[in-house]
Amino acid sequence: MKTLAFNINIHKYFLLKKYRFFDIGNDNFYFDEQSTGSAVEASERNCLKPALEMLLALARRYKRRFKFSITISGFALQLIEQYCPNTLELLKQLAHTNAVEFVASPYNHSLAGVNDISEFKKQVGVSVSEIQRLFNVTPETLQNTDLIYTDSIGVAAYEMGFKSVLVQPEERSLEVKGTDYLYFHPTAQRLKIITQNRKYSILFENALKDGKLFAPDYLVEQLGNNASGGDILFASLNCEYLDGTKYNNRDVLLYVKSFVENVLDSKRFKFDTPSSALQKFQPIAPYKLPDPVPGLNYPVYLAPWLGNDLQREAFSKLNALKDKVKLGVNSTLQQIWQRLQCSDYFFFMSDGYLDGTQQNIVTNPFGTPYNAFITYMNIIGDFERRVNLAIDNSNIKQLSDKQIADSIKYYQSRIKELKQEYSKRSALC
Amino acid sequence: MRVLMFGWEFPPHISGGLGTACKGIVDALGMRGDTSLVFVAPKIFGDEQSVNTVFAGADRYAKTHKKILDRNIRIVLPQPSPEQKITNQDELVKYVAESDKLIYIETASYLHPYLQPGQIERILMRKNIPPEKVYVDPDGRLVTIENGRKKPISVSIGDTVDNNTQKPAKFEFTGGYTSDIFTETGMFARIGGKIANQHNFDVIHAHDWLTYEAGIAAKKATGKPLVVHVHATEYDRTGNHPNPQVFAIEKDGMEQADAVITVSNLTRDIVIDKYGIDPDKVFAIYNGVDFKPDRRKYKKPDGEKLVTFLGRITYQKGPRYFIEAAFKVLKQLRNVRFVMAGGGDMFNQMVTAAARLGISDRFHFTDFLNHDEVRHLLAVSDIYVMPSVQEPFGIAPLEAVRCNVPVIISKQSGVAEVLKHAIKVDYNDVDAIADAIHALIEYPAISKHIVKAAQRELRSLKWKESAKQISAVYNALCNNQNTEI
Repeated sequence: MKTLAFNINIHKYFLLKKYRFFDIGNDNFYFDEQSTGSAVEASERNCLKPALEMLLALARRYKRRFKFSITISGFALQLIEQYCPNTLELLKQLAHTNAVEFVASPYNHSLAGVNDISEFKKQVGVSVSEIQRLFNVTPETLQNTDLIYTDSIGVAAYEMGFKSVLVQPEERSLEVKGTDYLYFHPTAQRLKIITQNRKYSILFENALKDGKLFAPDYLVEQLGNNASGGDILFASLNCEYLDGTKYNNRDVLLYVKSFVENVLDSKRFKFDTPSSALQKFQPIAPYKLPDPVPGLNYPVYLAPWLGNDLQREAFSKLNALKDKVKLGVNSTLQQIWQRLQCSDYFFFMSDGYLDGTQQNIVTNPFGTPYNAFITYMNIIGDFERRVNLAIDNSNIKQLSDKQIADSIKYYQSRIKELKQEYSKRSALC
Repeated sequence: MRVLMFGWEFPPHISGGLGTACKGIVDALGMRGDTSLVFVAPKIFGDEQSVNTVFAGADRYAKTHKKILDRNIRIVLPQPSPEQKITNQDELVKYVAESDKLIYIETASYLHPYLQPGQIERILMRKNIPPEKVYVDPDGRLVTIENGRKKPISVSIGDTVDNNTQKPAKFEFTGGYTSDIFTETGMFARIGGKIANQHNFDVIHAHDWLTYEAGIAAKKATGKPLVVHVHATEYDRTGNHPNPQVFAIEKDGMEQADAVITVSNLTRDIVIDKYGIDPDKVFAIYNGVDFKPDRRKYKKPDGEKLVTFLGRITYQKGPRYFIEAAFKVLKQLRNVRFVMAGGGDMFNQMVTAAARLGISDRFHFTDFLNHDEVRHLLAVSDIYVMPSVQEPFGIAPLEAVRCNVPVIISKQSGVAEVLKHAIKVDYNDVDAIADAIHALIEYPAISKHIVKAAQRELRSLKWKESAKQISAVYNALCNNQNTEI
């Protein structure tokens, strides 16, 4: 009997205001708190609450047989705690049933794992302690933002005590056996790697989206067709897909419920959570995926976030501010800095929104990638101005030794940059 | 497939989209090899000198210019082969009838695609120029000869505006005019019927309302199917205050037509909603773009960016939103200049507006530009803005893209349907226009990306593709007619 590890992703982010360049220097507020709040409330009404209620009912009815995992971003937790007490209560009850495993992820849903492992660890740490505080459980499994993975993320996960990582597999790294097997990290060998069956995950989403495929048993049949010879079929579903109002109020929840019951009836699959499943199987091979080389183009699997010039420019502008922010700016700026790292802003700059290849169900709040880029860059421009101001105003005597050391480091690197620029210019003259 | 087409002169004689579109369609249909064309264009002949004016667009087809059927019609023929000797008019007519290449016929007429009823007479009257002394020079300008020297006449619609009051471009629809432009379209229609009887063809194709009557006359004379091509409607030209007589001619043309081609879905909707035309016979076929960029390197002041508005300065093109956006940008950035290129009835008003806002040192006007000047301007431009209030298609932004200039276009334009990689704004959202200009100047990544991606998109926007779809419409009509018989 094969194991079906089902993961539901819940993520919310802060909507940006329409921030024009003439707002730079005049407007300190970047986030549209009101729209963010109403978007989260709408999501609770149409999707989160009914979906979690159904999952809770299933978990209670099929005790120990229906199990799944939830990955919830830190921002989503924060917004749900603020706007949706009922949903938070449902999540807590789900945690009580022991049918659900909570998977840790970077609090900010950021791309820090791509280029800043220490920041990544920090964000995961915040997320873990929030899950402990709210649900009284300690996550044993880690999933980076949108299943992005490289070897260093694996090492970080191992160092933080996680037993396994959920990843979006790269074809070349799977060439030995394919998906659906348990893998291990090449150096941190005790860390298990569970790879997503992408084909089936997409099929599942399409079945919910597309009325024609909306036939009973279809998903169960396809489950058999798409499983390779492996032990664990890991499928990941964005919670937004469970919103029936997006597809003419079709009863997607009833559909999912009958899918779960069909799987429970079938003799070929059983549900399990990642951390429980990996105790039952042996990993078959190392899963290697080297980190992106700094200075070169980002690899293809990062294309949805860092695939075009706009995304790379915005990301590098964001990262250029990293050292300055670390110098110790006030908590308001720190909070903004945390929010601006959210990967969604980069996702909305993707060309897929123009040529129709973007599969994601989330509509682009900016309308077009160009508007997303312009707004984000204007905000970064104002944020940089404020950070510079804060650094200039900070009194060196009030700084801690660590901050002074950071300052020295920052100014040294800045001097180096300026020297390079100078020599470049004098070479031109 | 043989086509009788009523259209407009090709560039460089006529500036603006209509002549360009006619040329694109004619060239691409000619390239298909399965289509022959008799192309009839109204032309202001003027005196004998102008007969010597070589029609530049026809150079590709004709090295000799054989004339003249009668005083009002001139034929530009393709080069006859050596064995075809044409010595008299009968032979000429025969040659024309048998020729399977493009035949270009010009007819004497004051029709001009961007004129409104009564305008040309008023312009000439006010300037005290007798109409028979007017002709078109090689740059496409209307000129008159005074004391043996050429003197240009501005035919921009701006001439109808009272220069003292600076009233905006609401056209004078007094209902008092009865002749002029309608007499001209009627005359053109009679010539159209006459030409139709002299040629063999399968389908009639008429471009914009001034030629619809000619198309209808040709249809009545021969019973062949009629296609009318809508490049703009009276609603577009007048900012939703249509002249009832023009509207009636347009509606009649569309109703009598067997198929209506529009340049975008935006225009298709207008044709269906406002003219009540059966949606089943209205087809949106996008224009192509065929533009040779000026690749020369021009010197520019260090680090200065040039933001360009290019088009007639009329209400329809939304020039005031461009000026207002420029004002907002200039408050923050100084390394940028703006240029408004073109003439039109709001020209004086715009110059005054720029002066009043105190940006005249950075905001420049060029008035009417000829084809080469346009190419030069696009070569030095960094950003192109088209804030049109209503634009059936808009080829000009595509020409800018061809010159590697990123474009900001209004959502109220047909071209927005086909060009994905552009910044799209509501025409009156000045903040958004200003913000986009700022972003294109300050964040080089976005300019780079738009130019690269839009250039890729442009490859699929070819006249060849438009001609293919037009040809399919012809074929459907002709097949239909055969089965009905």
